[in-house]
Formats: sequence, structure tokens, C-alpha cells
Amino acid sequence: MLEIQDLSLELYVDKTWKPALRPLTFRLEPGEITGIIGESGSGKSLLAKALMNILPARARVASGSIRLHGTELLSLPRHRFRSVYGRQLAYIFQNPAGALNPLMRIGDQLLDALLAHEEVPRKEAVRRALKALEEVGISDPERVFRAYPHEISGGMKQRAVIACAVIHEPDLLIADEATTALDATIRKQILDLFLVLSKKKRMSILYISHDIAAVQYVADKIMVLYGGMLLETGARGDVLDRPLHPYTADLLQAVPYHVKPGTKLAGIPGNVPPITAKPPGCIYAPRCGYATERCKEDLPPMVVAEDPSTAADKIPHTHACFHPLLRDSLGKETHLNTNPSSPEGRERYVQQPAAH
Amino acid sequence: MSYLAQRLLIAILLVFLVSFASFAVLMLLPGDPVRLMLGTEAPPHLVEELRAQYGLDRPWLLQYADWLAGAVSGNLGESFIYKMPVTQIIVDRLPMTLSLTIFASLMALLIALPLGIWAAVKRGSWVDGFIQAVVQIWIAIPNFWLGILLLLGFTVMIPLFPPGNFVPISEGLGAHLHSLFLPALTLAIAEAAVLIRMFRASLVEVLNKDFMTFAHTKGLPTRKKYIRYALRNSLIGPITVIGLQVMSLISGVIIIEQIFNLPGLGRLLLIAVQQRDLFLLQGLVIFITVTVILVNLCVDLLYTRIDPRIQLHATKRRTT
Amino acid sequence: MKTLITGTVMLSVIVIMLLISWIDLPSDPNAMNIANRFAPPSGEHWLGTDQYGRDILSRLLLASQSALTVSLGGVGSGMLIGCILGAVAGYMKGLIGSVIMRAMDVLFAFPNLLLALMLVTVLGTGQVNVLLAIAVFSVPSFARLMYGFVLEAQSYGYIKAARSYNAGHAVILFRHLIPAALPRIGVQMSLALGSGILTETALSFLGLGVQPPHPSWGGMLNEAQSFMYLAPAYPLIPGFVIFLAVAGFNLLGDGIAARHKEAVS
Repeated sequence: MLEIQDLSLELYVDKTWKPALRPLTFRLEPGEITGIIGESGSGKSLLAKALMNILPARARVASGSIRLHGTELLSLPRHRFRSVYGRQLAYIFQNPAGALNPLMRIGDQLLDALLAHEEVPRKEAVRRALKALEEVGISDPERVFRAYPHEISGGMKQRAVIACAVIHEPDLLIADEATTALDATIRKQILDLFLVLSKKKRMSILYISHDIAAVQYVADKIMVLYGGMLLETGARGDVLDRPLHPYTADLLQAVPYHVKPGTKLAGIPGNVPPITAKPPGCIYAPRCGYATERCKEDLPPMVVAEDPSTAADKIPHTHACFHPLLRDSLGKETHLNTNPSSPEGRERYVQQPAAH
Repeated sequence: MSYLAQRLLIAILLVFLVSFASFAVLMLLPGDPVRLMLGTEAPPHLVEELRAQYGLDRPWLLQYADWLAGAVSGNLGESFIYKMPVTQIIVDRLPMTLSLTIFASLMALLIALPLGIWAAVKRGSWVDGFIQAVVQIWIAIPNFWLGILLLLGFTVMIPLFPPGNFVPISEGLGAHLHSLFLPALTLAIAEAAVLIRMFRASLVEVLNKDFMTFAHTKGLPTRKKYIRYALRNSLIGPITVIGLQVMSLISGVIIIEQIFNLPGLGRLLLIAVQQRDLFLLQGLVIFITVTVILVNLCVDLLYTRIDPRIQLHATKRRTT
Repeated sequence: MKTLITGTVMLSVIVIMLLISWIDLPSDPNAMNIANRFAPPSGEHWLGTDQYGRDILSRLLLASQSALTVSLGGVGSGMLIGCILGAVAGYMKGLIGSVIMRAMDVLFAFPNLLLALMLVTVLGTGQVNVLLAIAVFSVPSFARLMYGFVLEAQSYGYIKAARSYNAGHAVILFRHLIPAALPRIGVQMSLALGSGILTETALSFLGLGVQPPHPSWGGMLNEAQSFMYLAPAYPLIPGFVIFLAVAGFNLLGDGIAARHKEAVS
């Protein structure tokens, strides 16, 4: 449905355009939730904004193509986007409070969204708006319809925002950190709502978050982004339970949820590189325990792993690493050619087996 | 309602305090108004007579009490130089000043709103840079110089507005506005510079908000997006400083009426200052104070209307 | 950066005028020569002469003294009083603080020129009284600035640290708070000087400042207005000098503010 081919982005830093997002290729299918995991500064938000054609002035698409049902979006004139927004593409924000106009009632903002693409008599429009509020799990739609944003809770606001975004049942909903600002219980309800939207309405959802637990809960497919580079993609089970890229594995080691109780959280030494840092080799090499000289010099290409589990769910498990992690029959992490010159890498391998 | 009552009470208290302070200050004047009126050669019994007539021979606190009692019923005392009730003089001259300020404010809005919006929508472009640079210089042009330049330009070089006397509104709106055009333009130009800055800054802030992006990705038509979402939000900031704008307008009026020889409240104030006409000056100060306070009160009420987040009963002070 | 440079250049013109007036004036600013009134610029009178045949350039130069000293003196004393009041109000909080700040609100809510006019009425015309008037209406903006700064600074780590080792109030105020507030005070000072010059010239324009025959920029502009049909170029000169001074201080203030913002972020 949405095909992204070799899309690369640039940022305007220190008066020049610098590459930010290395060319990446993926596709999004109806009824599927794709999760993008990445730390802040990995470029995940930038990617989402590029898909929506709402990049800030300091960012631009350098090359590639974004095709929606075969139509190239990158060459679509700006005014034509108005008919794409809402009906085909929709976008929701991290901070629901900021996404709503503080001076307008929720109902009016919802009606604006509805009437942007359809001529509907007022009465009918109100009826549909109320129904939309009900569908996103608001139990008293009449009250919320009449309320100003400041009069309802954060969870309610995010529901209202989602109602605005999905009232025309768009093909693709991009949720950029949409649950990060919410309480844990509310977060689960919103995630459940995403599941309903994707499975019942066959919506495709791109769920972007640094919250791995949330991504694990909703995503069918996961993409791991680091420093503007795609490092690993695959089915949820493949990526989270059998990570191939050392970064993914390290990231999971740093999440309490994924580590056996009593185990020390690993953390990753060093800092996330600035997104415009583009070393010749692998972006993760400086922090990677398995890195060899080759990793620092050559850029590892994206390859499909020969992982036997891949065939079952038909989603290829791909990675961009010269030395992907392997697992023995017990599910323990082993490595093809652990760099003997890196004692840190070996030590880590011995002391901290992946927990399940 | 309780909020309104509370605000009114504070306003009344403030007027009272200002009237007391200004009365005290004016009474402690070194010069003697009666002497000034009659000249230093005047026979002492005449001076005493006049003092008694105006009640100036009594302690000033008593005089203030008298004045206050009169003021509450709308009597602000009698002017020494005009030999008329101060209230009457103010009422006579008010329409001209009111016309001038309203005309000037409308003109200022007409100049500032489009330019401010243009700069904000094109933020970061050369248009924006140019408008901002011009405004930065423009804001520093003293209004009394500007007035003289306009007078020079449009009465001598291009005689569009021949120098003439003020035409009251009763002799026709067209002629009235024509006679007020140059002074109003002077005030408006000075005012517009400040307004452009303000409109631009507040609109830029709103345009960068998430809800504008969300309105955009909902697929709203451009016009709706700008008017219903951007403009209304961007007016909140400027509205809160209307009070300050009115004050700078008052300062401007004092000078502009002098330059253009207009018989309004500004001229009256200067005459009162130069002639040391105590009751007239006191009356004008009170009148201006009440105006400023009323404007601020209206602004607060307007503000609660526009922004649903501000509740009428809220007692929390808005930080200015 | 451009703003800062433009402002500095404009102000240097004014400062050079002041310096020349201290060293030596081209001719006697009060020497009248009715036969030579409204003379065009010449080798003898670079900017021509006024209605009494006096040298305009010399009068402009001499007038820069009163304009700058009165506004600098007024804004300077207003700044001192305002900063002290604001710091005390922010530091003490409670009743004293709110009484001070409410008084500042009232003062702030009063039109500048009206305030100045009242003071000049009470105290009489003349430079010192204009200086006082400028000082009075400069106070509230500095008080507010300092008050806001003190409240903000009390949450800073280093202020809390200073408190924790029992540094005295005076030490915290003078060693920590005031130095940290200096850039903001500088910006406000520059902007206030702009409006100080405007007030000084406006009052002398209205005949309430420096008294003739002593020259003042505002007074010269006023005289020029009376004779503008005879000598249309005369109003341009004092007006432009006033504009230069006001714009210079404004741009300097904006420039410092922009630079400081850059340095902070």
C-alpha cells in the first residue's frame, strides 16, 4: 500500500545540508501495525514527518520515493495533499494537549475534520462525530463533544485526537510517540484501540516509540532505527526474541522488562551519535562490543537473515550487520566470530545471556 | 459575577488612591495659583477673597474631602482659567480627542494587521526580514518629528491636506475625518510599528504549534486553518496589552494635538500644566486614570470571552 | 549582529557630538545675527543658521549635553532604585514584596508623558526636574525585571547551594544575583535610555524642559516647526539627531538581547 524506496533525508546544520537518514526501503500493508523503535535522535520522527510531507524547514528529502497506492507522493504538489490528508494519511502527536486548538470545542474540531472532505448536513455531521467519539472509547461523547480541550483529561484528549484523525478511516495512521505522555493504564487502552483500528478497519498503523514494551504489545512488524540508519527489521517475535543486530540486543538488555529479575541492566557505553554523523562504516561500530576493523570501514548492507523462523510468518528478518548474533538450541546468544581483540565483547557474552 | 464585582471594587479603590495621590502632589505645589492668576501686584485682600472663593485657605485634606464629595457626583471642581466646571470643559473637548484616537487606532490596525500577518506567514523569508528591519527603525522615529514631517510634506510640498482648523463631526463626517487625517496618521504610524512586532511574534508562535500541524494534516482548507485556528489564538497576546497601547496613545495625543493645533484633551492638559490650573489638571488626571482602568477591565472581560481557559471567577492574577 | 553594529554606529555619532561639545564648539551657540537668519549651509555655518541667525550645528552639539546627561542620569537613578526595590520585593516576598510590586503596577499603568507632565508641573521646568521625571517612570520596569529575576534565580542550583552553606543575604544578593542579572539590566537600560531621550526631547519640545536661550533638541524642533514654512529644511536636522539617538539605544538593546539569547541557548 505505502512503498518507501531508498528514502534519504538531509538536515540543514551549520549552513549546509548534511545527510541525516541513510536510504531506507520498506513497505506498509493494510491491517498491519509497524513499530519503529529508536532512541531520541535516531530520526524516527523525521521519517514520520517525511511520510506526511510536514518536514520542518531545516529538513528535506534528498532522494528516494514514497508511493501511496502507486502514486508518487514526493512529486505531488502541495495543494493536492489536502485530499490525501485525513482520507489516506493521518498523523497523531506525542502531546495530545498541543494537537487540539485550545479555543475550540472538541466537537467543532471534529466537525472540521469531517467536513474537510465531505459535504454533510449539520445534523448528520454531528451524529457521525458523536459516533466517532464513541468508537474511540469515549463513554460520554455528548459531554466531550461540547467540552473545550482543557476540560478533559489527557487520555480523553488523545482519544479525541485519534477520533479526528481516523474519522475518514485513513489507509495509514502514523502515531508519533502517541502514548508516551500518557499514564500506563491509559496507554494500554489507547494501544488496544490501535489494535482494533488495525484489525477491524484494516488500517495500517505506523507506531513510533522508544517505549519497547508498547511496541512489543501492538506491533506486527518492527523496524530498529539508530543514528539515522535502519539496522534491523522483521516480525515482532523475530526482532525482539531473536535479535540479530548487536544494537537491538544491547537495546533490549537495557530494558528492565526484557531482563531476568536480579540481573543488572546492561546499558550501552557511549552516547547516541548526532544524526548527521556519518562514519564510513557501521554507525553503531564505536559502541559495539563485536565491532571489527571492517565494521568501521565498510557500510554493512541490509541482508535477509537465514533464520529458520522467518519462513513461518512470511515477514523477512533483515539486518545490517557483518557479524549478526546467532543462537544455540537453548536460545542462548552466541556469535559467529566474536572479535577476539575485544575483551569487552566476550565478557558481555559470558556474563549476560539473553533473558527469556 | 463575583469576579466582576471584585474587579470593580479594586478599580474604584485604585481611582481613589490615584486621586488622593495626585491631589496631594498638586497641593504641595510651590507656586500659588491665585497669585499666578492675579499677578504679583494684586492687592492682598483680593487674593484672600479669591482664596476663600476657591476654598484654598483651608487645610488641603479638607479641600480633598470636598473635592471627593463633588467628584463622586460628577463635579470635578471649577477651572481657574476657564471659570467653568472642569467636567463641562472635559465633556466639551472629549469628542475631538475620541474621534482622533479611534480614527488613529483603526488606521494603525489597518496598517499593522496585514503587515504583521504577512511577515509571520512568510517567516524567515526576505519579506519577513525586510518588514522586521523597517519596523526596528520605524519604532524609533519620534512622533513629534513624524508629525512635523507629515505636516511639511502634505501641506507644503503636496498640498493634499491644507493647514486648516479642526472641523467638528457636526459639520459632516467627511470633512471631519479629512481635518483629522494627518494627526491620526501620525499617531497610527507610531502605533503600527509596535503592533506589527506584536502580531508577528504572536502569530509565529501559534503557527509553530502542534495544533496547526494537526489542522494541516486533517486536510483543512487554508483559509479555515488560518482564520479559525491561527488568527484567533494569535490575538490573545496582543489583546492583553491593549491597556498599554491606550496609554501610549494618550501620551501621543498630548503631543500630536499640540503640533496640529487641535482643541482636544491633550491641549487642555498642556494648558492646565502651563497655567497651573489645579482643578483642571486634577480632573484630567482622574479622567485619564478612569479611562485606563476601564479599558483594562474591558480587556480582561474580553479576554475571558475569547479564551475559554480563563474562568470569570478565577482570582489568580494574570502576570503581565 | 547587524542590529548591534547599526546601533553602535548610530550611538557613536551621538557620542562624538557630545565629545566635540566638551572640547570646542565651532562657534558661539547663542550669538545672534538677525541679518543672517535661516542662512543655508556654508563654510562658516555647516548646517546653516536658525531664526535668530544662530549656528545650528553649535546648538545641536551643545544640546547633546543636556539630552544625554538628563536621560542617562534619569534612567541610571531609576535603574538603581528599581533594581533595589525589585530585588527586595522578590527576596522578602510577603507583605513588603506585594506592596512594592502593586505600587509598581500602578506606576506602570500611568502614561509616561502624563507622569512627567505632572512632576514638571509640581517641581517646575528645568533639567533636574526632567531628570527626576525620567527616573520615576523608569523605576517600575527595572523593579519588575529584577523581581522576576530574583524569583527565577531562587530555583537555581547555585543560589540554593549558597543558601545551604549559610551565605548571608547580602552575599547572595550582591555576589550572585546582581551579577547574573547584569545582561538583562543592560538590555533594559539601553531600551530605557531610548525612551528617556524621547521623554527629554518631548518635554523640551513642549517647552517644559531645558529653558531657552539654552539649546535643546526638542526646543530646536519646536522652533523649527514655527518657522517650517520659511525654512522647511530646519525641522529635518534636530529631528534626525533625536531619531539617531533613540534608534541607536533601541538597536543596541535589541542587539545585546539577541546576542545574550544566542549565548544562553
